Amino acid sequence: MKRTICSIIACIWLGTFVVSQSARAQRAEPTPESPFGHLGNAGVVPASKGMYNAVAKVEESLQELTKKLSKDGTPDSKDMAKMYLLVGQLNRWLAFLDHYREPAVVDWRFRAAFYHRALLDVRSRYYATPQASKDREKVIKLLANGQAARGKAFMKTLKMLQDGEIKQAENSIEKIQSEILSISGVLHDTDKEPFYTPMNKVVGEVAGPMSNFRNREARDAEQAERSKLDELINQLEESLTSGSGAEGLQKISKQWQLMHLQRLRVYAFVSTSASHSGESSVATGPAAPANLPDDLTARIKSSIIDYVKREAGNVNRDGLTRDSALQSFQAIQSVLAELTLRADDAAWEDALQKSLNELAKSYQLNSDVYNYQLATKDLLRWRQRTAEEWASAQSEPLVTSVATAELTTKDNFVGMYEQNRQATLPVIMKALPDLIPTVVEKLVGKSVKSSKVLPIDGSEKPQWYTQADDGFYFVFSNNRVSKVVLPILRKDLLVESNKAPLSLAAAAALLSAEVGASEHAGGKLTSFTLEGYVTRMTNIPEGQSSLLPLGSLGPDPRGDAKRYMMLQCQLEPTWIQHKYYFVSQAK
Amino acid sequence: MKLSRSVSCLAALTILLAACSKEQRDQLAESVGNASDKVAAKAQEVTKQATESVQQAKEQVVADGEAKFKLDKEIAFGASFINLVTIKDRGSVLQLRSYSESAGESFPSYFFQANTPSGTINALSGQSISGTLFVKSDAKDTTWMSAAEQPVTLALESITDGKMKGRIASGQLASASGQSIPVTGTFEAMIEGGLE
Repeated sequence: MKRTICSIIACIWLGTFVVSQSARAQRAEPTPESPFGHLGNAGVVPASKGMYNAVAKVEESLQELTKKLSKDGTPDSKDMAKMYLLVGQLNRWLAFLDHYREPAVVDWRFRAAFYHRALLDVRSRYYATPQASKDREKVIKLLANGQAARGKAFMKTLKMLQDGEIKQAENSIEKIQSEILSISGVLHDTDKEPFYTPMNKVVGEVAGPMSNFRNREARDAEQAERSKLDELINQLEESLTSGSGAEGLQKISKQWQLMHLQRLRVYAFVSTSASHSGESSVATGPAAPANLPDDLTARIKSSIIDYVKREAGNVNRDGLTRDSALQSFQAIQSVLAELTLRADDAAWEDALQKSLNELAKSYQLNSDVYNYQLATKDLLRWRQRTAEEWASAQSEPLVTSVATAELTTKDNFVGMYEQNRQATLPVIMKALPDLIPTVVEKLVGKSVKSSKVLPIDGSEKPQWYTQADDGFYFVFSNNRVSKVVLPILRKDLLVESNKAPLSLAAAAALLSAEVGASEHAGGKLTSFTLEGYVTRMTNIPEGQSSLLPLGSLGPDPRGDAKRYMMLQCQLEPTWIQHKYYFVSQAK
Repeated sequence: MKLSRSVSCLAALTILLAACSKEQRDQLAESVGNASDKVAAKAQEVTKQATESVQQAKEQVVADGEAKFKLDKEIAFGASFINLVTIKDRGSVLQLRSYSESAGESFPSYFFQANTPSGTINALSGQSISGTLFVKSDAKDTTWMSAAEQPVTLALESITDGKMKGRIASGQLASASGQSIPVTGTFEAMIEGGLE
C-alpha cells in the first residue's frame, strides 16, 4: 500500500512530456501550456472540449489531494469524501469521453486506476484512526435521513427519462450521486449497500439512453467531417476537369492538399469507431476506413496527367514566341514539381514527364527538352546514387529500429510496442507518467536516422520535419541543404535566373534544394513529445499537410485507434541526405 | 588465350549494351516526338552494328575505347564514350563515361560531366576542361566523387579514328567515409554523336 502512494507521488503527474537529454535522470517539470501532460483533445466531437477540460480539472484536484495526503499522512472524513467524489467523477466522465472517442481516455484510465489504488490506501489508513467509527455512525444516520427525499428525486429522474429529457435526467442523477459520494466515503462497503443499490438502479436506467445519445453525437460529428471531405473531393474533381493553365493547376494543388488533410482527419476519427461498433477486431482492423474512396488518389493522379495532356492539345500557336512558350511550359512544370515532392511517387513522376514531353512538343520545345534531359539525367542519377551510398554509410539506425528493439513489451517490461505487433504505431500500455521515463532512458540522446524531410510552411523561423508514417516525426531548424546543394544543382542543371529547368526531375531537384526537402536526416534525438495518433491526425495545421505524402493515409491503425501514439522528436542533425547530395551539418 | 576469353566476354557485353540502348532510346524518342526520330534511326543503326558476328563485335570493342584510372587502386574500364550535348541558349555539356547508355551500365563504371561554351567536340581537342567525376569500381563499393570546390580537370589531347584521347590532368576524389585521394588516369573514348 505504501508503495502505491509512493509511486503516485513519485509520478506526480508530469506536466509536459518534452524531456531534454539533461533531464534523463529526472522527471520533467510541468509547463503552463501542458499542465497535465495528456494525449491532447482530438476535438472532433464539439461537446468533447468541455468534458475534456472537466476531466483535466478533476485530475488536477486528485493530484493535489494525493500529494497532500502523502505529506501529513492522516486523512480525515473530509479528505475521504473529496477523494471518493473525485475518483467517482473521473471514472464517470472518462466513460463520456470514451463515447466521444477521445484518445486521452486510454491514458487517463491508467491514471484512474492509480488514483483508485491511492484511494484504497488512504481509506485503510483512515479506518485505523479513532475518528473513523464516529464518522461512520454520523454518516449512516445522515444518509438514512435523506433516503425518502432521494427516493422522490429518483422518481423524478425516471420521469424525465420517460419524457425523453435524458440530459436533464443525467444531470439529476449526477447531482444525487455526487451528494452520496461526498459523504459516504467514510463507510465500509457493506454499510453503503442500502443507499447505493437504489441509486445504481437509476444510474443504470439513465446510462443506456445517455450512451446512445453520446454515440450519436460522435456519429453526427463523423458524418459532418465526411460531408466536408465529400465537398472538398467534389471541388477538386470539378477543378481537375474544368481548370486550365498553370493557375488552374495551382488551384488543384491547393485543393488536393486541403482534401488530404481532411481525409487524414476522417480516417483517424473513423478508426476510433471500432471499439464502439463492435464491427471490428484487432485482427481485421477498423472496417470503416474502407468506406473512404480507395482509388481516389489514383484517380487524382491520372486526372492531373490528363490535365497536362489536355493543355498540350489546347496550345494556341498564334503569336506564340519562344519565350512565351518557355514561360507557359515552365509554369505548368513548376506546379507539377511541387506536387511530385509532396506525393512522393516515382512512377507518377515518370508518367507526368511523358505528358510534359507532349506539352513541350505542342510548344515546339521538344528539341530543347530532349537535349536538356540528355544533358542532365545521367548526372542526376550519379548524384542520387552517391548521396544514397554516402548516407547509408552513416552509422545511425532508423529511429524505429532503435525504438522497437528497446521498447517492445516483454516479460516484466512494459514498453510502447506490443509483443505481437498489429500496427507499426506505438501503443499506450501504461500511464504516460510511467512511460515517459522509460522512453527517455531508451531514446533520448540516441543517434538515429529519420524518414523524409519536408519544410513546415508558415512557421516564423524556418523549420523542417520528417514524414510520420511510422509514428515518429522529427522537427529541426538547422538545415544547410539550401546553402550547400542549391549552387551545385544550379550549375549541374544549367539554370540561371532567367533560365529555368526543362525537366520535371530537374525542377523538383531545384525546388527541394531551395526549400530544404530531403530524404533522410541523421543526428541526435534530444527530446520528444507524446501525442495521440488520433489527436495529431485530426489536428494537422494547413502548412503541414505533407506530414504524410499526398494520397497516403499513413499507418493502418489496427483495432481501436485511440490506443496509438505518435512521437514528435527534436533532432540535432549531423547530416542530411538531399535526394542528390549528402550534406554534412558539421560546418 | 586469356585475351580471347576477355574479348568474347566483352563482345557478349557489347551486344547486351546495344540491346538495352535501343530500347531506351526508342522510349525516349517516342515520348519526345519528331526531334527524336533522328536518334531512333541512330539507335537502330548502332544496334544493327553491334548485333552482328563475334568478329565484328571484336572490332566494336576496340572502337568502344577504354580507360585506366588510379585511385586507391588501379581500375581498368573496357569501354569509354564521349559526347557533347548542346542546349539552346545554355551552352553545351561534355559527357565522358564507361557505358553508352545508363541502362546497360556495368561495373567498374565512371562518369564525367562538364559545362562548356564549345559547340563541337573537335573544338575541344587540345583543351583542358574541369567538371565532376564519379567512379564506382564494383556494385558493392563506394562511389568516389569529386567535390564541387575541387573539380577534376581533363586534358583532351587528340582525336584519332573517331576517338578522343586524353588524361586526367588533376583531381581529387572523396568517398563516403570522408577519405580524399588524388586521381590520375588516361582514356581513349569513342565519340558519340549527341543531338546537336
